Amino acid sequence: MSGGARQGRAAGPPCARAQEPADFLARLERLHETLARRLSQGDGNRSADGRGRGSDFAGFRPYRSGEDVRQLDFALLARLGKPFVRILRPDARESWLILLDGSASMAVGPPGKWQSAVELGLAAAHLLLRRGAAVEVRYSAGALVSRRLGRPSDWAGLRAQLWQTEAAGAEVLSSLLSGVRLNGRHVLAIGDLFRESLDPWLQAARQAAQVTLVRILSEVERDPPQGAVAWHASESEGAPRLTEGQGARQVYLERLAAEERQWREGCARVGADLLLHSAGQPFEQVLQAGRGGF
Amino acid sequence: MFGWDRPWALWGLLLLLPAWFWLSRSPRPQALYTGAWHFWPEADARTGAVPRRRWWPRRLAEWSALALGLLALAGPRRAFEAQARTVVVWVDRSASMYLPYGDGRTRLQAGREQLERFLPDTVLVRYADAGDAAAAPSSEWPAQWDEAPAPNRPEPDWSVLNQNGAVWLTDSVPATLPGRAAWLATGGAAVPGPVSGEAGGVRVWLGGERFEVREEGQPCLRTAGTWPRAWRDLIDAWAADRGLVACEGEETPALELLGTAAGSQRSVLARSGYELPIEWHVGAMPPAGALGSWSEAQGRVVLAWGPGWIWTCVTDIGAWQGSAGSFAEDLLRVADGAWRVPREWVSFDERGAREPGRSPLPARFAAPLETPPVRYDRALCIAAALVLLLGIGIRRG
Repeated sequence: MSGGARQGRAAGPPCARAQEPADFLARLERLHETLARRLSQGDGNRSADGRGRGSDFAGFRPYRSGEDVRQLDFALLARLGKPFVRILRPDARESWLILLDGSASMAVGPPGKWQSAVELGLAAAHLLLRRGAAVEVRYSAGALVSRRLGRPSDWAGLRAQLWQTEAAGAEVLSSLLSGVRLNGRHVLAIGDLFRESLDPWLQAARQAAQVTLVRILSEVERDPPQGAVAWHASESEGAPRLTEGQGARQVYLERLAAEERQWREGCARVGADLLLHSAGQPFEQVLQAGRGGF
Repeated sequence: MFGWDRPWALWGLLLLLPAWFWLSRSPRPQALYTGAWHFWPEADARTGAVPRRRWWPRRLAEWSALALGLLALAGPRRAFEAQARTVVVWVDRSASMYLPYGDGRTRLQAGREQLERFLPDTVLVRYADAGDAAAAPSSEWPAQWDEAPAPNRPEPDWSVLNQNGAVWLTDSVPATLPGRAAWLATGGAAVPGPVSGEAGGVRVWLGGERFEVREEGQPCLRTAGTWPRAWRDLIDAWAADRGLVACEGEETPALELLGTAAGSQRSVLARSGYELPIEWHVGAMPPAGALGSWSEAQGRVVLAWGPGWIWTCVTDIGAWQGSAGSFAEDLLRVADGAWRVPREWVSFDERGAREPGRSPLPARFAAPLETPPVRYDRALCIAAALVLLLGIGIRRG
């Protein structure tokens, strides 16, 4: 809190620009290896190079303890008396759409929400490209930016661009969905989901192969301090709202919890994932926790 | 009287005020940005401050508990001034107390002076007439007590006055020493003089074993109005036996028989042991201040008596039924209670020399009545704890 707490009138959200951690690439490599190892030891739907589930038959391999029995080839089991798992080859390249909320509210921190969003977006794009998926990254930081990445080498340009981008936009995250075809695509949307309507995401979840929403909140948004605070709105000018004591904080937490409950229930209805993430939390945790294809 | 066991603790109360201001001042808030602005409660449009919920009751409870605790630490107490114990002096006002004591004083006056030396200054003195145990004690010595004895007053019945905190003031050492009450006997030299009346004169004690009967100084009896003949004869016999003679001129009677004009009303006077047909005068009323009365069958008063007089509206009587002796005893008892015995007549026994004496006043009567102080620290501690619990309840609520 100390870095984000400033006396008197604040000049603006303090974490508008993200900065690449010194060990970012090393952490990405470690994560890639971890996920690859897990995939190679895991279910039969994905090959060791990370390719996803498809419908083309590629062969058999022996069943390993702990695997989903639904993957067993029962005809082979009956004929040979030994369990085998069918190996399928992907039908086509996975297509991913990564949306990053670059609005001014993402500049709240430290640790900055924009920092976490950029780390997470870059890491997801990196992993997806490495396993052969096509990735489109869209974000709005003042103006809409859309980058289509087909090869792992395309990632470097995205990386350079995002570390230079400031979270200063005004558009909500769902505005990035406009004009985009979602059929069969995987969607990873990263933002704080404030001022966001649930409906566009429910609609997207019905069209897309999978939608994963990652909500990132700063520490002061997740657990506001109990002392006297002058709250400044990150996206508008105006007199700060002064709070002190437990009363207002309790109301805040109740309203936040109610809103997150709505998001969870909505996502559950359409089979979308909602991951709650705190700024400063390592991106590895999200990418290993999600079931969005990583 | 209010006081404190540890008054230095009150300085803590003085520190409470600046501490209150210091802690109650609005702290300079830290400025923070948030994207969740809309989740915070609405703020006051003028100050921008979100109202704090139930701020002042909790704060008030906490500070009140602190103040009460400091007050308890100071040890408030209420002390009571030592109260003087009350001593009731039962005064013998029989005729012997008015005999000369010397230096122009009576035994009563001398006894009053001795009483002042006998009783410590720390006691509160009340005076009561020993001849009337039901009388309420007076804080002042009644002035009329110095003038004359109560009429026809016999020696007091001390046995009913044997009480804690009582002092008997009399002229002779009590025949039976009291277990609870203290006593003061003035004593006094023998005082020869009239002792009683008898047929033919006044019996006077001359000292030693010498007596004489004198005609002078005899009390007198006056009759006004009509009395039944039989009643009058009875009273005359009673008067002669006590040395009373008929009044002459304006002489003050020792007993005055008051009657009415002849009556025509007939009735029956029924008393214990006899019934008496009477003829009485309707409409006559007895004088005020009656000590007692008789009523006929219809409840109307036909005989009454007071100090120095007997009144009746009965003018004639018939043949009674029952005991004649009962009637005589009844009427003479009225005469004994009504006539004023001359003040100078003091019984031979009381005129004799008396030994002075006194009992010790119980020591505790010399010490004032101490009342332990009332301390409030425990009550304040309990109050502080309750108020603190209230504050905690408000905080959780």
